[in-house]
Amino acid sequence: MYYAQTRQHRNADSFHDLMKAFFRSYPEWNTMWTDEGPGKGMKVKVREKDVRVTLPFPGVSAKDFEVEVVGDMLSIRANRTREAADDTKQYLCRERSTESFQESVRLPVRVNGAETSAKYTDGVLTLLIPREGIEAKASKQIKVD
Amino acid sequence: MNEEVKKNEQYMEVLPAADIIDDEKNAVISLEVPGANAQTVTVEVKDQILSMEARSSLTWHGMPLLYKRSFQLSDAVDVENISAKTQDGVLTVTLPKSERAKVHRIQVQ
Repeated sequence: MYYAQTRQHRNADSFHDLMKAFFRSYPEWNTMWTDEGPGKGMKVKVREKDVRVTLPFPGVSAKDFEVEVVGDMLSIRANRTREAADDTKQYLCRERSTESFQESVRLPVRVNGAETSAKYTDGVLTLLIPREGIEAKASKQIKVD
Repeated sequence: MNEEVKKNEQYMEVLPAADIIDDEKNAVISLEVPGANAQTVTVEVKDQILSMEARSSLTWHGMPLLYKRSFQLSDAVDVENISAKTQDGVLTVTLPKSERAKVHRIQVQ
């Protein structure tokens, strides 16, 4: 079973990128600078019959996502639209991210992108992408004469 | 933000990111709890401390996540009328201000 955790690309400044790069090795210290802590980042899991992709991205709606599967390339774009409206409010504390998300990842197996299903529930985007050509890759014993 | 990640036996505890917005009548706390919903969230106030816990469907190294955070409330909060809701992985807690803490504009004659 293949399990991959991908890195989220943000339009962040170089300081943010530097901190992320540093803290990626020490997620227990401070996960603010990493995209790979608990509850963060896109996760790709290859299962027997499909590929399951999850992306925690709370506070938006289903229409804010653009998902594309071309061949074995998966692209996800998630837009936040709340930022502009919130600028007029008086914040006592502001920790929630206002950044959008964009990520493209090459899936490690062949998939049938046309049959992809996507749902957004409780702030988590979940994609199920059926695998293609599983039968052809099934193991076969070769008899040695 | 000083985010904490702790392990316990059943859950991976995570400190959720929060926004706190102040307006004339309320303070509104929004916490990011992806994978949690109204059935898995608890919010309580005890001794002027607001505590929230949210069990998430997300996991980390096989352990389900538990979002957990507490806030000390001032006595300017009307504790009896605190309300909470979850939507799209965001827990929103509305803290109405007590009558004493509201802005009273006085007309100068």
